[in-house]
Amino acid sequence: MLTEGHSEKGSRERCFYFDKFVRGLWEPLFRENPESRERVALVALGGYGEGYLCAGSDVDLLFLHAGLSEGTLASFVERLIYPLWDYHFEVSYRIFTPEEALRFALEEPTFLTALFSARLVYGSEALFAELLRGLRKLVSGRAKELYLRLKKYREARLARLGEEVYFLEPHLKEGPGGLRDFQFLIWAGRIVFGLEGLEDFVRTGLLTPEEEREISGAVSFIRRVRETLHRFCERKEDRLFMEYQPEIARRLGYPPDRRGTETFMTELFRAFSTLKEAVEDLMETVEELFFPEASPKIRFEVPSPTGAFLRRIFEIQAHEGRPLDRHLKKYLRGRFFCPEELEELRKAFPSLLTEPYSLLMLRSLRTTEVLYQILPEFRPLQGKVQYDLYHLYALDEHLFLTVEALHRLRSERPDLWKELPGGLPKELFFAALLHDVAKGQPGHAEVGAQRVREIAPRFGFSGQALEEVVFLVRHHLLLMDTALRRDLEEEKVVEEVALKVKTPSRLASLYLLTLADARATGPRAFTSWKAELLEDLYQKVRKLLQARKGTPDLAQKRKALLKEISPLLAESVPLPQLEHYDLPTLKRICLLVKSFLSSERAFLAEISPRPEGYSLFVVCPDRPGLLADLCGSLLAAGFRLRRVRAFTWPQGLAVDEFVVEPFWPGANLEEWKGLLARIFDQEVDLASLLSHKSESIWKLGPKIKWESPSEIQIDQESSPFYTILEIYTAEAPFLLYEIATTITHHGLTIGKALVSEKEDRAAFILYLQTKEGEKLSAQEAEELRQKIQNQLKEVRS
Amino acid sequence: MKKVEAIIKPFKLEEVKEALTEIGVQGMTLTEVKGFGRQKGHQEIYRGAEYVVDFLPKIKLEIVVPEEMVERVVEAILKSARTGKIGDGKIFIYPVEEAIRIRTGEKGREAI
Repeated sequence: MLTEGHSEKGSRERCFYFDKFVRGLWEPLFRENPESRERVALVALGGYGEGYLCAGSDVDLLFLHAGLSEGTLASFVERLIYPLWDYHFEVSYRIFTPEEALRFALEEPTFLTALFSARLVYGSEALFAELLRGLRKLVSGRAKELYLRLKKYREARLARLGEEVYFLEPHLKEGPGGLRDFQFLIWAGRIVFGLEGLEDFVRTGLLTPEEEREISGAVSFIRRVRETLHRFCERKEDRLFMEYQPEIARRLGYPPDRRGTETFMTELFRAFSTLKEAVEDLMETVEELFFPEASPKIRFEVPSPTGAFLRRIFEIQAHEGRPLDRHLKKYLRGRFFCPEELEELRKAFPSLLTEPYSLLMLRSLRTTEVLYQILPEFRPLQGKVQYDLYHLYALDEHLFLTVEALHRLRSERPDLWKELPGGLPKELFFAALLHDVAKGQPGHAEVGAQRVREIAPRFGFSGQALEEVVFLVRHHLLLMDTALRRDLEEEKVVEEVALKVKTPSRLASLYLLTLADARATGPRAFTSWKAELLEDLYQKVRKLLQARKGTPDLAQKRKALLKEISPLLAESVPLPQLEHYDLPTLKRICLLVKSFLSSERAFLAEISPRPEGYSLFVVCPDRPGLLADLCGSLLAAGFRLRRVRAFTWPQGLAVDEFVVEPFWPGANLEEWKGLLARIFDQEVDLASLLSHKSESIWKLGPKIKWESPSEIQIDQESSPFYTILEIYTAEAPFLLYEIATTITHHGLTIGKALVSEKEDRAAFILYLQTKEGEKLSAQEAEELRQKIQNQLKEVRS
Repeated sequence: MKKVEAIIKPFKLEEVKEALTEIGVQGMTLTEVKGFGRQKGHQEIYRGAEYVVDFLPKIKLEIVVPEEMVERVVEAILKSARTGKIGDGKIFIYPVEEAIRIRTGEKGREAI
């Protein structure tokens, strides 16, 4: 029964053969029972009624009779239905007299609309004519009521399937702009204006001949797609899932590659939007007729000569959320505006994006195509398909939804908005609209940033604001990529982000863009799982940026260092170390690390004299207890510690600076080197060595005996990675060694240390972690605090 | 046949996938999961308010392989997923009774 034809032609042919098939079955019955010829009719409804029978469609039938006996009626019905079932058709049918049919149509809007496409297949013409007469009468007095019912029906359908056409797995029949929408158009025309078909729409001026051609083209295209899909799936399947798209495109004659599929989908989206707009235009006309007062639309007025016409329309829309009226839409669509007019709109455009109804405005700009006059870069993005696992919408719609998602985030994340200067920065909204402008090209974020650098000045961005937009587009994937692919427990990872982002407010901007982008992509792109990783990263970077106000300069410093030193080294310098030293010193440190890495030695030290003593940089592999060994060996060699800055590099190296003064004139740093080497080789036991020396060293210090109270603080908040131990106390030569030893005995590691011992007062800031690289628990921290408190008391006594 | 199930840190996924592909594993299932073990979730203090992360984001990998491959699979995961820090995850190994490829009806080794 299913004939091999092609697409629309196929479904028409199938319809023809189906009709023939029915006649073949009924003819013998009429011969046996000639009087029934005028008393029964087979009527095709729905798509079959219109003359299309898609490969896998249902067949909607109406057996119309004029009070035939049950037995006779049954023979007509069975004669047809059983063979259809045998052929595996999905058949739905009703058996009514014309009067019953009309009564049922009033109760059931779907049956009513099915009747609109009723077509006599075989049997009594008079009976069919009676049905049609009755239908016209039924409709004529109830236009408004029936229209509203249909409208409700359409609204329910769209609520289920979404309002927008740019959904990447569209439903060809029920989706927005789908075949149902076309039927709605025809039905509404029929109910309200008594029009039979599209030709009548043109005749009465509801459509221009060109619009009629576009609509007919769109419908027949969608029908062809549906027919091909049914044939491909060998069943009724109206949802065009992504996995079907390449094959359907190929069968429809598009090139058998990705581009072919994308072109196909883009054309399909355009067909949907043609139908959707046609329906909405008609609805507007009808509603103006029925409810002239209720319509809050923006109406067409004669353009003012000031050039502010376009801007004013979209300003009102973005601000108040009123749709454009049909005449205004028609006026705007396809018209070329003069440069002054466009310039006015262009200048206002970024602020309009921050208005509450910017999504409606963007969609109006798209349907009227005014958007492409102010922003031609957007035209190739219209309906562009993104083939990946996540995106639910075509590219342009995704970008619109990103702007919309920003609006929604205003109430959800007030904490982020508070960080932004001036409330609703235009830069952020503009970047949201353009972040994927180069999507589809390799490195789309970078390419997009370059393109935006050319686009944004036309919209009035310059200087810092321009840089902001470019930055956001360039880095719109930074947070997501880092959160998913890097170890957030690594300080270095967080520091890298901090260096790129530079300020807390920019970080908040970028985070909002990231959230909005993820939400506008689809639910699979943004799970609570990803949200958590992202939030963790945001909070960690934020903390780092807040602790360091000088970060912007640090990025410059890193850049300068990169010019002179290999990236591997220059990028390894921890942020706080970058902050502490000037560029020449940083360069020296990097070179020292370089020679250490290429030497076989256990440590490398660089000594330079200072007015009161020496500064020495030491590089060696980090391990628990290292700081205690370094401090202890210096004490044992006769040096007082004045300042310590100890850092751990990502390669697991300790890169520490000590500023030391000799206790006595003969103290020699070369001897210290020898001693340290022996300690590293475990030839010398430092603890016992120091216990012998402590007496003599004790006599030497502190320089000033000053009783001031000690302070110990545990800070768990300032760093996401370390527990910070801060000690302020009277200076004592052994103190740092002893504290470092205690910390080592507790099984903790010192990631960073900043120590200064002045004449009277010593400050120790030690960044601690457990062996597993975590912060200390509250209990561990308290135990440590107690222990050190006792130690300080002992020193005093 | 055995099923190897591994819970790993999210950022280790690429490395683990690479290591497994290298030893010839052709298919795996991965799921975004949340959980805690000895790591217990951690306590962070953000914006002055305590914010307790009860469950940490992890990835669950499931791979069904012939028995003789189990050891290599485990080794590959161990090597690639380890950071040495707490929370690196766990590997579980289960016996698998049968595997059937839905498309062709193939069974056992052919199906995995």
